[in-house]
Amino acid sequence: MRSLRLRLLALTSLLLAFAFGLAFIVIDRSFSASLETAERELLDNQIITLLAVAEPTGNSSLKLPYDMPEERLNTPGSGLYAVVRNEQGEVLWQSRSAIGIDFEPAFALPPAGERVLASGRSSRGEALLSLSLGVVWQFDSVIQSDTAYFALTVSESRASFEAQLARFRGKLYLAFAAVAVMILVAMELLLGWLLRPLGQIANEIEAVEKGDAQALSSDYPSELTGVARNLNALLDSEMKRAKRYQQTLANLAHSLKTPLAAARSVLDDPNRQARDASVREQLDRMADIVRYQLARPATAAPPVGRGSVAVLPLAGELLDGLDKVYRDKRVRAELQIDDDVAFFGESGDLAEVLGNLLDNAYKWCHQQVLLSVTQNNSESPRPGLALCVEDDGPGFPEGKATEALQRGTRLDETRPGSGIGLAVVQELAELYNGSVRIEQSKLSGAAVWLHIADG
Amino acid sequence: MRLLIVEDDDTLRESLEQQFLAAGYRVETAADGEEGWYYASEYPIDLAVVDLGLPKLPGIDLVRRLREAGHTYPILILTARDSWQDKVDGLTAGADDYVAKPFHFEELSARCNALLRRAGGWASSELDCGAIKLDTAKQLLTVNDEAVELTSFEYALLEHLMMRAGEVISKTELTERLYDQDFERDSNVIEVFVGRLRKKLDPDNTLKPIETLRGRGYRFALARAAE
Repeated sequence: MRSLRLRLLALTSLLLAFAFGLAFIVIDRSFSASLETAERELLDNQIITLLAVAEPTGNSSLKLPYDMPEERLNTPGSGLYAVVRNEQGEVLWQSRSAIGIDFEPAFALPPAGERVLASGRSSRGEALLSLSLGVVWQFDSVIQSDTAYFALTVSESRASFEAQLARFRGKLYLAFAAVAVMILVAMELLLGWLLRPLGQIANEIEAVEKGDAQALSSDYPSELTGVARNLNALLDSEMKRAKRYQQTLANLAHSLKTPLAAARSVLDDPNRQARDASVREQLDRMADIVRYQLARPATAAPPVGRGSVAVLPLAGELLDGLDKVYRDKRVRAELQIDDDVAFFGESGDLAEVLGNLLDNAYKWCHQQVLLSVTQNNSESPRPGLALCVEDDGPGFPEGKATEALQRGTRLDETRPGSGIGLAVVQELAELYNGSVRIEQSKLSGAAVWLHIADG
Repeated sequence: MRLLIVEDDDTLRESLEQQFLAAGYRVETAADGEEGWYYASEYPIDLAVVDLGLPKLPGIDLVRRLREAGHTYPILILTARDSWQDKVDGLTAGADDYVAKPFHFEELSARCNALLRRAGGWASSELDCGAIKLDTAKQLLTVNDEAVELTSFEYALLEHLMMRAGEVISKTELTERLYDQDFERDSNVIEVFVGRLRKKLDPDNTLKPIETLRGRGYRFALARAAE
């Protein structure tokens, strides 16, 4: 199920069905139990009434009045019946309501002194609940003393019981259904209210996409402000990146125009050798421009959500590679990097920084290169680095160090060779809020320091 | 020396082929990675120049495959992207050097030369065997400090022998490395050229720089100067 709303509604419906079903069964059971108890009490009362109104007759029988106190016993087919039988099961008396109805063989004769509850059907097919009491009556007369057994049975039609139960159940169904519907409706409304900010975010993102808005508004519930803020940060960095790309492209195009114009103008030079040399020179200029623009960071801000790159393996790979390239020099390169030193950013950026610095060191060193990297000792989740590349070469000429680091914002000033590499390192350092410093190494050559601030 | 150039840009590939031929190399060319793999594994190659951005089989995979297959000749990669990540990946995969595009042919040629020389165990571009010195950068031969003129084929032959001074090199190998594929192979030609070289290098027959090992090949016999 893809929709959160559907998921929640389905789950709620399922829970409601289960809970209400359980509640229904419990309530129904207890209701019918109490109904049964009431029924039994009613039958019991009737039996007691029968006993009260029964009068012994001379011939060891019982006589009951024509009119019973309970009116329902006097009305034929009322649903409440009373029968008195003797030991042989012969009907001695039956209430007027029971005229024409045969209760045999529905109810067995109960043992003397016992009440037996039974359900069965009358000869008319009416479902009945009956309570029978077996009594032994003592007849004391002047002539003799005698005892006789009688079975007193009072039956009530189950119809009213069933009707009551059905009525109750109907009401219960209705009540439960109403509550369930109310809960679901409330849930749906609540969901609409809860999910509205999500819809709002979607709309706002769409607006940003269309260019109608620059960023998302800040008017969100606290659970979503983080999302909105991060989205805004992402949008912001993307916007800066796009702007930077645009600038880079414009810079590139503009800076290529000058050498192009120069190359075109020298084509008219009648001196072929001079012409070729000039064109070659302009081509080199263009190649340098392209190389510089490609190597410098394309973004103005460090990438959002940057991960970490272990420095040691990359540095090791670079040294292995440079050892191959500068095999003739037999450079003794040394790494002073702990295993857990990490750079928080793009691994490509780290490769660019280390590659340029180490390549310079290999190029200029006499025989020794030293790369040391230490993690800043800070509490930051993304601690920065102090990185130093040293060699035993001639070092930078006095006063030229700062020149080598100069940003190539004006491309015409970038010079071929070492100019590009260090300028790129400088730009990358700035990207990560860092700085580059050139010092004299204890190895006698240059020591290029790169500090990267905590992220 | 037999070179393999794997480059998908037709203009660049053809231009490199012409320039390397002019510089005295035998050249095979391939326009994609699979073709490059075929030449690199089937032909006797001394050095491969492999572009990283190749169709069918990326250059870096080609390099890795060649190394896995046990080919040890030097490989130089050409990269257009010029990022250090690419360079490191290429070198880690087994390449020996890289040249970033665009480049001057002289730079590429110098790097190739250096790789070949290193593969022969020479540390500098001058192959110094005492009385006989061959400067591979300037393509200049001196015998007892006097310059000696060589034809381009003689130069190639001598370079091959001196590059691996002390090793026995079979006639077949020399034919393979010095002739074009479709050239009529006749081992007599090698004998003739070796004869001519001997005359030029050692007119008085005192140095005896090139030994003939019957049935096995030739060996440049002068010891390498200590470096």
